Amino acid sequence: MDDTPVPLLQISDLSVEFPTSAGVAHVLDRISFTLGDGETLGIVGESGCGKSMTALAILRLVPSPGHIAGGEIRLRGEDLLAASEERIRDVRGNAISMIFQEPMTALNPVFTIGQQITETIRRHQAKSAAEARAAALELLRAVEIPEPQSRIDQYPHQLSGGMRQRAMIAMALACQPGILIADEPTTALDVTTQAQIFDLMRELRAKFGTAIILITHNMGAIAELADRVMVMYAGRKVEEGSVAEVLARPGHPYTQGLLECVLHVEEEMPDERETLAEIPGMVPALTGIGRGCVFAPRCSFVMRHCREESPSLFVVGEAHTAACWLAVEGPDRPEENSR
Amino acid sequence: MNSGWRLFVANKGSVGGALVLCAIMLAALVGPFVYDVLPFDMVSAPMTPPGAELPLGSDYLGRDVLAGILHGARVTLAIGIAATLCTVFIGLTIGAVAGFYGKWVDTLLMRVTEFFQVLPPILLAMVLVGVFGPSITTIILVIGAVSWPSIARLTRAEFLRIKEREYVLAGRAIGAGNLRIMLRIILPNALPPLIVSAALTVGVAILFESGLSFIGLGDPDVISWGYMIGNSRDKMFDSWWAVMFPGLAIFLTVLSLSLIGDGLNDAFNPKLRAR
Repeated sequence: MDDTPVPLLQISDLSVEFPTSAGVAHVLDRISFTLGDGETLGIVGESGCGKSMTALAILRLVPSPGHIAGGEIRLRGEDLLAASEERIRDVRGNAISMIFQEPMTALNPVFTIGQQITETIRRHQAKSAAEARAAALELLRAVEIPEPQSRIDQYPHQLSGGMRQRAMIAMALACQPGILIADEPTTALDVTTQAQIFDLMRELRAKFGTAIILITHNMGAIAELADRVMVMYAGRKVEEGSVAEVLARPGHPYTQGLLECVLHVEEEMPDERETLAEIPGMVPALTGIGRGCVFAPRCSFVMRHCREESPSLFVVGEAHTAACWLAVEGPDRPEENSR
Repeated sequence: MNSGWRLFVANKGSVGGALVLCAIMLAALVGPFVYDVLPFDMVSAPMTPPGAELPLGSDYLGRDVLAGILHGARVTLAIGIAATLCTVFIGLTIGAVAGFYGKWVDTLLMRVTEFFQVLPPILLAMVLVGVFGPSITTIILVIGAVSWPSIARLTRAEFLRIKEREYVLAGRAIGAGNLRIMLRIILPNALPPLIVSAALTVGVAILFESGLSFIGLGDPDVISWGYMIGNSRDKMFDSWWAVMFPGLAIFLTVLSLSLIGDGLNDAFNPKLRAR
């Protein structure tokens, strides 16, 4: 046991709460996962399931009045929740950095992209302005921005959406972080640009050995880029496993539903087309969650047990867990129902 | 920035204002060297009307009005600019801290701001000048002390608006601390309306100084336009020129500042601004 290397990032029982007028909302409820060096973990789920909150919590940036209510975040064994404010600022952008969904709003409109990348470098490294600028130019080249010498002095509004996201990635990679959190990095981009950004992220991962946490609601992106996937629902982890495992044998009805929602292009005649599957119902309000499984109200396989007790994560395959009673017991039998 | 400049130039009024202000500043800088008369010297018979000898006449003590205007321009403009810097410094600091930190800090600072807002500024200024004595420094500080609330409220509103932007969060995510976020990320984005407001504040400060001088609370050792008007106001009907010309100077300066503020407003307006 002692020989096991300390994982790059280890999250255990992380909880985030928001006080609201309707009571405390458990936005994250005891989330645990680990991230190894150079690994890509995909986090999927619907809007509001806590994906982005997980990302912000790792950097201790949960917006007020929310707060981290419990758990541990260990970066190479160091407890980030106990770290001083100065220490966490050194971690941000240096050991762990983040790219955002909408590069237009995440880049500061009044500074050139060169100034913004340089600022990040000089915040964390003792470099002269000229050295930092040279490094920024190198980064723009690495993220394959055409004509970096002239782009470096342009403002965000002068760049296309794809180039802005490339600039954002360059900024995030400025200090060669061990972990890159990508919060829906391609949602705001068109499909061809999305593919280019994924290619770029794959290349950069190989080049810098950066571990990536890819947050998305796009199963295609997960299949494309991730090694492991974690499925979240209403602030809870409902399934985790290798991408191949989860996509082939989803263990949780919610994951099955998400996979069915993906549009497949098939050679079908127009009249044979089926309507796209959807998961009925909506994500429950996070203030009024009862004792049963959170997904029970929308689940098509719901059993009596589901409404009474929340399932923990059960092993359903090799390094594959799912929080569903179906994993350990069959569907309701008649005698059980009549008991 | 180029498109902003184009918008400023497109506003004819603001270009006119800028030209007039440039002329006034030029007069303030080189005027006293070209027209070599000291403003407190009694150079002619009292109340000489404007004519060949004295272009703008002399006041009831025989002091040259033109010399007063040229020398007074320096003092008046200097007071306007210094008082504006003072106003912006106080207002910016208070507004930025209130808007950025929010909660009880905001509540406390805004109550203080409101306290200053409900007091009539001229009364407060009279009390302060009365207590500390009428010197240029006091007058500058007093103008700053009574006119910061509007800048503070504007800054606070901008900070409240901008601090929710994603690039502020992105700034935190690269390790920026509070001070860096306030000064390097939020402030540059909040500047446009503040610059406009500061340009208008210069005009207000000049008027304020004139007002104080008019009621006799100006610095008696230096000549300013307000001092000239205040000094000659009893003899207004006998020597209108001693009041009229400094008044005209104030009017032109404040008007041109106001026009410039207008042009800056256009230049910074994203809706008028082409890509």
